[in-house]
Formats: sequence, structure tokens, C-alpha cells
Amino acid sequence: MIDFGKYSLLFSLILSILVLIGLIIGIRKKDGRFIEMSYRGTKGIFAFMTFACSFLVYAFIMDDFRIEYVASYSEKALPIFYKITGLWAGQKGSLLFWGWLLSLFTFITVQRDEHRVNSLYLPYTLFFLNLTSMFFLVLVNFVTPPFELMAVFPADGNGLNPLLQNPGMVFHPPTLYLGYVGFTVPFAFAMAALVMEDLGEWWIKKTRTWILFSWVCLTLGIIFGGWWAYKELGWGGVWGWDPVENSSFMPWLTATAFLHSVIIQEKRRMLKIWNVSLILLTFSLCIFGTFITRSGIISSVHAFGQSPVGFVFLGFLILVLAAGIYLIWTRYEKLKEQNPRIEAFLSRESSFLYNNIILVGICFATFWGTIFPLISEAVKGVKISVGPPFFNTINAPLFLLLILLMGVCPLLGWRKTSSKGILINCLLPFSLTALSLPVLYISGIRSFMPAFFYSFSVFVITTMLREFYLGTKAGVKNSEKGWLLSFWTLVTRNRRKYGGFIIHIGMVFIVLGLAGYGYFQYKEDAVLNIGQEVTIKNYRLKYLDLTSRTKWNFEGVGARIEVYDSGAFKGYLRPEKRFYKKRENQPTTEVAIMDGIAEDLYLILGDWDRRSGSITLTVVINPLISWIWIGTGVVMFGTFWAVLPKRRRQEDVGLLEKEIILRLKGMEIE
Amino acid sequence: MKGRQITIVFSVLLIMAAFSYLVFLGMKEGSMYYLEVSELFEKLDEMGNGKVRVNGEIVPGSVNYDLAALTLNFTLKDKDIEDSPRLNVIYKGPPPDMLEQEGVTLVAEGFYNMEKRIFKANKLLVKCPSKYEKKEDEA
Repeated sequence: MIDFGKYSLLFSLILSILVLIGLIIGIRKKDGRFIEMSYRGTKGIFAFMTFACSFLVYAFIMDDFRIEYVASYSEKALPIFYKITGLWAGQKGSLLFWGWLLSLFTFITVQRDEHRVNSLYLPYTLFFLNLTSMFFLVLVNFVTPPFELMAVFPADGNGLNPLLQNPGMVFHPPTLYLGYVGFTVPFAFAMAALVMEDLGEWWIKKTRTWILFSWVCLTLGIIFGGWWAYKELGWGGVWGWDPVENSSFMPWLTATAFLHSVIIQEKRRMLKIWNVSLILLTFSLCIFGTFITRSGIISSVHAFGQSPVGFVFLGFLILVLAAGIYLIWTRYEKLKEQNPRIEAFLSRESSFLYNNIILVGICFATFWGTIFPLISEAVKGVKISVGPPFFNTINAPLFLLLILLMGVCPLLGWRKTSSKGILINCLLPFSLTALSLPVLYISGIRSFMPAFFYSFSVFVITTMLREFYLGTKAGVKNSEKGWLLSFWTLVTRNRRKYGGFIIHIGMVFIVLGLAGYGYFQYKEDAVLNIGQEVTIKNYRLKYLDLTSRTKWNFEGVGARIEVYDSGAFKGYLRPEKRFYKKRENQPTTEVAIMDGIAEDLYLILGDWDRRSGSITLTVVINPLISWIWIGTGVVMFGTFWAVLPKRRRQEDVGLLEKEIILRLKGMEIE
Repeated sequence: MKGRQITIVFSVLLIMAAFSYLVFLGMKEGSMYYLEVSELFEKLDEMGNGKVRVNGEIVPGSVNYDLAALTLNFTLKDKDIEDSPRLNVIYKGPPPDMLEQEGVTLVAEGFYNMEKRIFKANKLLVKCPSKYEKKEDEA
């Protein structure tokens, strides 16, 4: 029984080898039967991988501590939802989960293609997807087998690390993996396009949903990571420019650049090679991130285990990059742009170009800062680390430019915009932005950078709302419908455009939150005796007593604090230290947060005196930080608005397929 | 066409220059030595009074927290080396989680005071060996 999991992983690997062989024979001999066989093989791989994953989850639920992985990450008293998430609590399980997602996405890619029987590109796409799958299958079979048994079967497991016993654990890893794995599909399509020497818009149209889906998952994954750190780690922040954080941020940057530059290719047929390079870079950075986090070559606060797996990923990364660069290199001459160049410096496409330059610039700066300790050690023999000030100094002005672009872009037309037209368009947003500066000054924002951040945010929001307004007004004029109906028609007819605007508004909210906490966070430590009060800014905090409670698998000692804001009673907070039964000498902080639209009050219980009951309390005030979470919600809504409800009619899909087939027919297949 | 090319070259150069300047500024602001305890003592002369990060293992039993004064004291040594030099660290603020676990390594960011022979940390980053994944040799 216990071997089922192991064997289904082995069967998956064998099947993926068969799929590979089938594809090679099928493509060489132009024999559809072999290719059809490979398509069917993906179903089998998916089925076996699903079985393996379910089996592992089942083992967690049933407390099957004979399995080493389960014993390491679970215990009997662990709440059931943390048992289920045990699947991705450790390295072995998360790689299995990664492999399963990949098999699922491969399966969907094949099944979604209505014309797969005659498709010319799908065999190549599947070839690259399957190679990636094989890599993970080799890992879970031979390098990090999740179903290894214990030498001695223990009565109870080790328990899950207390820091992972937080709702963040449920959401952060899977969303991040969904993003990482999702980019494999557009990557495979891009490689297929390169092999077939046709970088037309077809592969972008085919993968548009995948790209947006992966992008939004990666965004969510990163934000959930920050949320988790904020709620669990007790340092009052969401982002620290740690190598592990950076490694998820870098692919996000190139993916965001890619999202924008494909629009130029669709509209103007430019930047073909650039787009392929960006998706290659994005996929490589996902693998690079895994390499960094798993190899431990760069010291990080997030101490993942240092294991050889990291270097296996490095090997895979080199392979992917070599293959990608080789394909681009050999096809470069044929694919060079024959299409129109960008005509003017002030046009919508040029603003997309600047956006790309900035995003790649931020990515490069982040990359440089992340690997700098390695470089300095190799060159000078000394490790020099770069801290958050490095990243902030470079990236804050670049982000500022990016926000400015968000606002400017809709004011520009495609191709060329007359200076006069731009001036007229800018009038309202610019004057509002100018007006916002004195308002900001009066409300206490007097330093340079934050003032810029907030006034630029005003600028973006105004231009976005202006777009919605102008579109609706035109609708009212043309169709003589009412305002509400016109608005509805506008946003449903152009889901993609207005979804994009909504995403930008969400991004501005996130930036508002980041700037608020980044520039105006206030922190103070206080020592309090029972019954004592302390006044910090507008808050009056009264320490009532120290109490303990027992729940599930831990005991929590907490201080009850009465909170008054500007004199008004707001409620009680109970920051806590938890002692998990499996790790009694490792107390973990459980912060207490009173969150609000304007600011969060964030309390950390430091230490206490057992006899007198006096405590150390760290009080953090984080202005506007809630806007990060609000903005993320808006970004999600915008993305779904742009993709999900757009039900393409059957003919449209057929037309796209036909177009692709026509394009690719007559082409020599190697 | 020629004027156009000049504009492009010019703007690329401008962007590169601005970017390099930002990187230069950032390196000046944010880079600091990352040293083991023994390396810190070796490099005291060439370092001057700059900010450094020191990585080390906490000497068991050396942690002392004065609640009333909000002051934390402990001693760091090189990881896994018993006879390495010891570094006394002082930090204003409550102790971070997991400080007193055996074998915990920690990165302290701050300045070394030569006269008082003490390291004044203004930031502590605890690295717990079992935070996410056990090391291979432990497994």
C-alpha cells in the first residue's frame, strides 16, 4: 500500500520518457499516430501525479509517520488544514507539488487545443513542456523522493515549524508555485515558435490567458509572502529585500515587462525577439530563484535547507538558458524586424518601451544586489553584503518613473501624438497633481520622495478615471444610452483595456501602502508594569494583565492591552508568545494588530518578568499599510475582468486556429 | 534618419549614465562588510568605523536581557569553531524569537566600538537552522 505513491511517480517518469520518444518519432516521420499517443500520455502522467499527491496528503491526514516526510512535518495534534498543507511544507513535498502542477498544466494545454489533431505547433510545445516535466520527475524519483520510509517508525511526528503554522502558509507557497509553473506554458510555446521559425502573434494570442493567470498568481504569491511575514514574523514590515524575496520579485518584473511588450507586438508587430527573450528570462529567473533558495549559496534570513538540489536546479537553468539562447541565435537573422519602427518618442508604444527599460532596470539592480556578496567574495575575497538601503536608493526612483508612465501612457496616442494634443490631455491631471502638493504638505508629508510618490499617485488615478469618463461620455453621445448603461457597455466591450486600467489603479494603491509604511513607519519600545499606561502618538495603551491559554498544540502567554485612539476606547489587543509542545524552547511571537484604512497599530510582546509581570512591548504604527491588501484585491479583480469572463465565441477560436494553421503550413518541419 | 540615430544613442547613454549613478549611490548607501566573528577582528584596522554585518553563533548561556533597561547582551563566536575569538554584542530592544535555542546563528548589523570592545548592534537577524528545512546531515 505504502509503495503506491513511489510507484506512481516511477510510472509518471516512464510515461514522460515514452511521450518524449513518441514526439521525436512523430515529428521526424510526420506520423500523427505517434503524436496522438504522446498527447494521451500526458493524461496518464497527470493521473499518476494526482494519485501520488493525493496519497501524500492522505498520509498526512492519517498521520502515517512511517513516511519520513510526514514524520518531519506533521504531528498528531496538528490542525487538519496544516496537515493538508504539509504537502508543500518541505522541499520534497513542494517539488512533488510543483511536478503535479506542471502535469496538470501540460494536460490542460493539450486538452484545450481543439485542433490538436492537425496542429503543427503543439508537438513542439509539448516537447518543451515534457522536458521540464521530466526534470521534476527525475527529481522526485531519485533526488528528493517524498515517499522514503523511516528506519524506525515513530509514534508521533516532529511537528510543523511554528512559523509555518499561519494562514499565510496555506496561500503563499501554492500561489507562488502556480505562478512559477504557469510561466512554463508560454515559455514552451515561445520555444516552439522559435523552433518553427515563426514568431508571429499566434503564440502570444494562444498563451495570453496563461500569461495573465501566471502573472496574477505570482503577484498574489509575493503579496501573501509579505502578509505572512507581517502577521507572523513580528518585525512590523512586509518586505526586506532578502535574497529569497528578491528571487520571487525578479521573475515578476520581467513578466510584467513581458505583459506590456506583447501588446506592442500585437498592435504593431514589433519586438518579436525581445518578447521571446523576456519569456525565456522570466522562466529562467523562476528556476534561478529556486536555485538560490535551495542551494543556500547566498545567506538569507529565510534559512531553507542547504541541499544538493539547488545545484541540480543550477544545471537545469544552464541547460534552459543554453537551449534558449542557441535557438534565438540561430534564428536571429530570419526573424529580424522587417516591420515598422517606433515613430515618435512621445507615443503609446514608446511609453511601453520605457516601461520595459525601467522594469528590466529594476530587475537588473535587484539581481546585482542579490548576487553581489558572491561577486565581491570572488573578486576581492571579502563578502560584502548590500542591505535594503541599496535596493531602496535605486528602485524607489525607478518605481516613481514607472508610476509616472502609468499616468502618461493613456494620454498618448498610438504612433504619434501632437504636442498640442498631449498638452490638452495633460491639463486636468497635471493641475490636480499640482494641487495635491500643497495639500500633502499641509497634511505633514514634507520630504521629497514620499511627496512625489503621493502626487504621482494622484496623477495616475486622475488619468485613469478620466479615461473611464471620456469613454462613457463618447458612448452616451454616440448611442444615446444613459450614463450607467454606456459605462457598462464601455467596460464590458473593452474588458482588456479597462481591466488593465483597474490593475493599474490597484498597483497605485499597493504603492501608496508601501510608501506609507516605508517612509512613515513609527516604532517604539516600552517597558510596562501591570496597570501602567503609555502614550505613543495618538494612542494610549494600558497594560491590564498577563494571561496564558492552551490551544491545539501550543500554549500562549499574552498581555492584554486596552487601546485608546485620541481618547476614544477602541478595544483590546493581546500580543502573545507561543510555546509549541514540540518546540518548547523556541517561543514564537504572535503579534496583535488593529488594522485600519489610515494606519495599523501593531503590538509585539517582547519579554516578561515572571515575578512582577512587567513586560517589554514593541509598538509599531504603520500608516496606510492596509492599502497593500486592498490594492491586491483590486489587481486581482482587474485581471479577472480582463481575462475570465471574456467568453470567446466558438467562431473566434476557430478563426484563430485557422489563422495559425495557415501561417504555419508550407513551412518546412525539421 | 541620422538625427534620429543620434537621439537614440544619446538617450541610451543618458539612461545608462543615470542608472550607473543610481547603482553607485546605492552601493555607497547600502553596502557593508559581511564577516564572521574572527574576520571582524582581523579586519578591524582597514574597516575604520563603518557599519558591518557580523555572522556568528551565540555562545550558549551568554544571553542576558535586562527588561527594565531594555538592553540585550550576548556573545558571538564563529560557527562550529570552539576556540574562535568572542565578540560581545549589545542591543537596545527586546530579544528576537529563538535566540536561546542551541546552535542558533545570527547576523548582527552595527558598529564595533574599539575602546569599549563591544559591538553595538542596531539590527539583529536570527537564522534558525530548522526554519524551513532540516539540513541534509540532520535528516
